[in-house]
Amino acid sequence: MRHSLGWRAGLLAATVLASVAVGSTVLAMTASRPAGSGPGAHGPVQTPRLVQQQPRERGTFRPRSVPGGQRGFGPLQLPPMPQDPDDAPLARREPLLRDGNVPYDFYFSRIAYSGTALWGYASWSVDFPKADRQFLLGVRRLIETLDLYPFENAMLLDSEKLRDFPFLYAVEVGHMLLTPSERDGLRNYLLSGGFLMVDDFWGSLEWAHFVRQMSEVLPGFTIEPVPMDHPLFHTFYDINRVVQVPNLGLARDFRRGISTKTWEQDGYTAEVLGIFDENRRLMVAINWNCDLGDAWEWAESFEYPLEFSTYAYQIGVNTIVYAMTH
Amino acid sequence: MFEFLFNYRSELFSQGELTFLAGPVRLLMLSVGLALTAWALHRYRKSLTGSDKASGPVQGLLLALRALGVGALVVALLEPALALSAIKPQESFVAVLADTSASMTVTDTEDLDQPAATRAAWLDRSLVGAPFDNEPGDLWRDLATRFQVRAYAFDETAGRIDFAEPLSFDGRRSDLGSALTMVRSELTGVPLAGVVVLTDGAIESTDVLIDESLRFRSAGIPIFPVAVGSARFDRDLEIAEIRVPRRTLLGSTVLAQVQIGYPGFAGETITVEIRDEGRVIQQRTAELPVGGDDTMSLELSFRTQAEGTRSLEFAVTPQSRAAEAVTLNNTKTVLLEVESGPHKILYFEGEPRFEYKFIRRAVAEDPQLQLVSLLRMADNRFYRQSVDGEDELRGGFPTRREELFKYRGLVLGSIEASFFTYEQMRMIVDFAAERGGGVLFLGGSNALAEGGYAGTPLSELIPTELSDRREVGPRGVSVNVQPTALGREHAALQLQGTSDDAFWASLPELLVLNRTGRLKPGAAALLAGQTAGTQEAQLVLAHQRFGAGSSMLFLPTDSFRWQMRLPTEDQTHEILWRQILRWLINGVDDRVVASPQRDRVELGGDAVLEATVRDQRFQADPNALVEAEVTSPSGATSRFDLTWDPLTEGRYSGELSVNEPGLHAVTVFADTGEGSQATAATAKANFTFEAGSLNEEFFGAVRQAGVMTRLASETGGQTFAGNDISALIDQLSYSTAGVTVREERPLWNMPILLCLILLGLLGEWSARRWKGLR
Repeated sequence: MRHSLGWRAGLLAATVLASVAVGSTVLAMTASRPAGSGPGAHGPVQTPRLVQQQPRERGTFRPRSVPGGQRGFGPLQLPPMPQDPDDAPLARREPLLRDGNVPYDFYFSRIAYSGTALWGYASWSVDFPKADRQFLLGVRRLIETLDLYPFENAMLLDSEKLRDFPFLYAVEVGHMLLTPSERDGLRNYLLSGGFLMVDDFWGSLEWAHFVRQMSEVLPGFTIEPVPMDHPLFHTFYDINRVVQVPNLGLARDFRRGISTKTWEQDGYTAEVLGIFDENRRLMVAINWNCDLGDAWEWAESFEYPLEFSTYAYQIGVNTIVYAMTH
Repeated sequence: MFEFLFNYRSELFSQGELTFLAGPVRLLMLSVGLALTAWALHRYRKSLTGSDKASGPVQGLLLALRALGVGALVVALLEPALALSAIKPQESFVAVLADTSASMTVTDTEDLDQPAATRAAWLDRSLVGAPFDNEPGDLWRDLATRFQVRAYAFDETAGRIDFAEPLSFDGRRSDLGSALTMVRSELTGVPLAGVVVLTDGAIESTDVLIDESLRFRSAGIPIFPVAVGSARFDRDLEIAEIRVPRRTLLGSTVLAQVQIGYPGFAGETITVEIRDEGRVIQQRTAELPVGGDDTMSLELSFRTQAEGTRSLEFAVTPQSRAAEAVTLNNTKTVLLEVESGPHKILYFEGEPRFEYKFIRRAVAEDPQLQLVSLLRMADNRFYRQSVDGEDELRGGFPTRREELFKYRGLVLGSIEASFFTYEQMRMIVDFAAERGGGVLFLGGSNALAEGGYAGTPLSELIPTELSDRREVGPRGVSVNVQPTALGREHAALQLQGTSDDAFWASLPELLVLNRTGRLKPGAAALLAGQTAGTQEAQLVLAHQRFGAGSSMLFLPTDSFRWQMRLPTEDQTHEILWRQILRWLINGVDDRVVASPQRDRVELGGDAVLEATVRDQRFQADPNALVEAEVTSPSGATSRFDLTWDPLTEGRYSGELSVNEPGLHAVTVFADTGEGSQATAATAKANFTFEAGSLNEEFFGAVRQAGVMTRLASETGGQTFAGNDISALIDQLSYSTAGVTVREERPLWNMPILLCLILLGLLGEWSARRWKGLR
């Protein structure tokens, strides 16, 4: 996650994803440069460029400036937010609709929330957009019938259009500082039947911050563990244990045998928790002490252990299926 | 007029035969006279021919007029007479049947001498006379001068009456058939000249009545109904008919259609109420339109809130409390079976999409619906929800009829036609046509024409024509949804208790991807929309009956926007889908369908119970063992077999005599003999009927001529009005039944003959004067 690494990947992402699907351990990957090196290791996110592009992708991906861009924390340093999700934060290459005004069935929408800047860029945009795209690449192969929009889709919580996308993904929620209109937007979104998947926040400090934010979004609701027999773990894959998915740096050390550490801060144990509505339907699926986004982002890297990326794809696919069926 | 010209009523001429009373001497004289007349006419013609003033036609006219005068005179001299078989006084009998049912207490004045008298008062006056004077009434007295009178009162029973006893008008129905049976058996061997029936015509047209009318006809005994009451009330408010489904699901919105008759109330305001156990559950106020036929139809929708058999009382109340002819017909009760489910509907979706999730969500909390869902994730990989047990739909979409037909409804989402085998498609068609299920097609990028449905068996089932152009791909059109005129009144589309245009206009636009052709004949559009830009009409929701079942089409692919876009507490999306899916399975039958022939049975009458039994493949089963268990209001149960109806395959029936008022619960068990376990093969159905006083006498209480006219014409009798008793007695006196003598009535003095003589002679004279002839 925080290894927003300069990225010159030469990896065969699709091959990796296929092997995730079948549980194969055979990886055919090449890396032109080790991750974590090169310019921009702690700078603004560089534009990712997929080596094996999808047939629909045409033209070149224009460089963009990332909102935020200042170091440090605090409300005074909130990243400037885009005014309209259709204009920014990215210049979209692909329209949201197909020819003939036909929408896709599923958009992987990421919340562009107000929050503190993190290592010089907005915390919501960690791993963005490579993780989103690479995850969707996998989902498209795994759930064959799902008609998905294969690109990232960042949404503002107080946008009117938010409600057209009943699935949301958020990262680094330990750095989220929602404005009143964002709180209202998220509350109404969730109570109307929208679904939020939360990922990539660690330890008790970030937890406490997230809980405080959510208690303002959904007062009266509690966060509770999702039991292993819950449909979330069985909608597509049968998942029998929660795996702690580390960031790329830790995963690399883990693979090399240098360290067995997979946690950050004091988040030693990964947990899947949830906020349920009055009918016991999951509204918010919270992956705490876990970094699924990095696993998606680096799934094609030979340095990223398969056991982590496999779990990350499985829980991600299950969460999408759950959100689209319950 | 006829009677004035011919001395007697026309009926007597049709009964009797014409004869001449002139003897041989007079005939001889007449023939001589005729010969002289002929000679005189001949001479007369010759004299005319000689004149230059009389042209050909004038000669003809003059001759004809004179011949007419002479001819009429000759006929009169022949002394014509009408030969009739007349009743021998005091040797024949007349049976008088008086209707003493409750409808005779209606006050209507037409045909009566006294204003504002009841029908019963007329009957009393006619038959039993004034109280305590021990004299019979007018009719009885007049009849008794020529006949032996046997009087009977009839309502649901019949019995002999005497003029000394007052009549009581409390019968709950008028069973004339049984009364005629009694008369026939009591008066066997007696010379019966005819039967007089004094009634308002509110009589049951039963099989017994038809049978009896044929027996009287073959015996040559005429029946003379005397119509009491007026054919139209001056002022009366009546619930003529109520249309409510017989069964519905708990929590469903029910639309009741109430037909109100209101002679004399036009322009006034009324209130219609629906009461369940005395509690008002719905009411509506309306102004009665002026003009037209004084009937109107009102619609009231209400939600069922309690399970079981509901006895719903509909009452209409005028705001002005002015008097009306009958007040008992202002309330009417109907039975509504409120069932609790859950009833299973199979929802098959070809691709994960949010529409699937939100439809499931909308009905998830509806305890009456079980939306069993099958979602295709990949080839041969399905995600199942709300299934009963591990085995249900394990192999994907059903391949056997038994498997599919256990659902009441089927929803097909965005799934291409090529997914189904030909047999599966035929099975889905049979699901609607034979099993009677409801099939709902949803729009989607792989549905309908875009999913290749054109030309497949499933296209028969879709309420619209489909384009079969292969190049057709989905295209999105945003529509503003509005109900059609039909949809506005439809129970399934009563979303906010209002059919307000503003409410519909406030809903977010929905997207339609599929292209459809025109509606099929018999299909109806319930929701339509206008496209935002082009203002073109776009179909949204359509419905059609299909065989025993129905099919529906809902085109938008993102109705979830009505959930996501509207305020969180808004229930529009939930209510829409619950009501659409409830409607989809409304009236869908199980394997055993049982019902009473009539929902409400008069106490002391027979309840006829009927059942139709089908096997697990929903084909009529003529070999089942069918038994009914009846629980009376006091809790006593009785069981009896229903017998096979040889005329209709799979149909069984039985009769039960009802002696206890209240709701009788019936369970019909049918053992279709399939499977190894007896329990698996036994299917059952429940229903309820109510026994008690129905006040049916007071509905349609105006004088009903239909049955009376038919009865008279069948038996050779005639219908009379209440003020035409003398004609009745006249007619009876010449009945061919009973002990009769031949009676010859003179006709020579008929005024018509005098008129003809005068016309002939005076006419001829005038014509001559006119032409200047001598």
